[in-house]
Amino acid sequence: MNEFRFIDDVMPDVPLADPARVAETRARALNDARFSQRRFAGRSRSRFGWAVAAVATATVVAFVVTVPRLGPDAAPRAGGPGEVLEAVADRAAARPKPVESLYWRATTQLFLRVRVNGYVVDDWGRQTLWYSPTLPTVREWTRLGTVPSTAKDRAAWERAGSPELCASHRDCDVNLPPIDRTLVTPDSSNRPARPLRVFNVPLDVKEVMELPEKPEDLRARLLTYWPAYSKAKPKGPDETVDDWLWSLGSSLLWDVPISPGTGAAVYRMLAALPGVRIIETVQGPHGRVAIALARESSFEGTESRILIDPSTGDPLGLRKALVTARDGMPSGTVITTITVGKSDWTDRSPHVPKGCTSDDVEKCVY
Amino acid sequence: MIAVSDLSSLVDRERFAAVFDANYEEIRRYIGRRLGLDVAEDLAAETFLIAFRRRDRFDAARGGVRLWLYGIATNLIGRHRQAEIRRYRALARTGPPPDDDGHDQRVAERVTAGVTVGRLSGALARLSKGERDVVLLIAYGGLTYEEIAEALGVAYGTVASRLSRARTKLRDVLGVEVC
Repeated sequence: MNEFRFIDDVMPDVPLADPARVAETRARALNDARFSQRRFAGRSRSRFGWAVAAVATATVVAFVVTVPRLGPDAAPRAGGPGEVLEAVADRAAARPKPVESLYWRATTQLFLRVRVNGYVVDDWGRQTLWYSPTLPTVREWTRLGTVPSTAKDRAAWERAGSPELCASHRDCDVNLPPIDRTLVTPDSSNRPARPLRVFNVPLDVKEVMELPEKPEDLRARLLTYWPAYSKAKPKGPDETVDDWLWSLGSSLLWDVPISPGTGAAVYRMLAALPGVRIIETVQGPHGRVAIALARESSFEGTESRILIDPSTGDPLGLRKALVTARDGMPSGTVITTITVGKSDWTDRSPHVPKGCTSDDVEKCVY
Repeated sequence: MIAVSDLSSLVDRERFAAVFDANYEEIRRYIGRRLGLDVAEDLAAETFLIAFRRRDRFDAARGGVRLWLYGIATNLIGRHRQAEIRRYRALARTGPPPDDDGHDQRVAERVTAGVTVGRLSGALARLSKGERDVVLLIAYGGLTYEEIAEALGVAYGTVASRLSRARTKLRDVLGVEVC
């Protein structure tokens, strides 16, 4: 286990390299290697090498006066919230397009605060989705911990006999790994045509990668999925099509390999939904500065905020709070957070324990 | 990652290209997270050029090309130590904006002990260069103690003692147990 994983989680990451810049650097390095190869027997440092060193020195001098990308100073300056969001969406669209590989790997950390059996618990977990254009999907769920939310909840839990804690009303043993262990859920080897489940909408990797990059076209495309979703959804409080677009859009941002242009279109589409507010500066995960899209859901009685890094356009996560008190929790209580971790294409494969199949989850914990 | 780990990979330009393709993004990211993107690409390129020029010194018995590249990159970062510390100090000054649910946010992030970018940057700035190297090779590169010893060309015990000191400093500054 990586004991300093929290540093990897907390410190700002760097965006993928622009493929054109990589090609330039590669050509320069190989060119210098060619010179170097000729002189290998005689000199340890080529003429070109000095040039690279000079460039590096110059950029270090520049770096001294460069303000880091993170922080309020990095936020775009613009007239109002709408213009700020436009600038952030432009930055999102300008991010390099990831190069497709074996699996799309997307990790998110989830926090839930929920009332179960007469007391409120705080529950943490980490999800990693492995989507492939050709191979079966693999989902990983790591339980990180569950505790009573407050001293009052702890007392209620102890009065109930201190049963095992989890964020479920049902038996905690059902399909849940022990704390700090990971449950792997591989799809059947018979890969369905649309193996992705994006807010319960079945999609294919290629289909996701080719989603429209104009907000109005994206909205129109997503709405074609609504009839099937609304027919299949469980009976419950009325979920409007806007509620659904908000949830589907946010899931697209961090779960699947949409293009940078589609990511920007998602921001613009969501910002245009009725009742959505743009908040220029809020606290994001790990103390980062974020811009937020905020929307109240009448059917859930919550306000959720999609948090975006203003300096890169990357999604940082979601924070959902109660608008009205419920289940013994006052209004304003944060009941869900999603913190976006790494998401990238990788040529590595997920670790699937020996004997683990979609029909035998007993062997799927590591 | 493509496994390109033997000496033959470095003997000619074509194989050098394969080494570049297999490792460039990872090395650039490691440098970028320590020094910022402004210098990451140049230093990543320089890492590969140095590797190619010094290919006669590569010892496959001490680990693969990836570890060797991490060692070269870490040495290059060492030349920019002051820039790295300035970066951390700048990040440490960037306090979070006022927020009405900051407490809940800290609870939600309890698995990372509420450690913020600002606090962690301040803590990293206080580590010695050697301590920071081993901590960040684990955090960003996922290297083991043995691999770090090979990459940096130091004894296993040196890695262990640097980590021990780093844990103590991080615990003192962050107020959380690092174990």
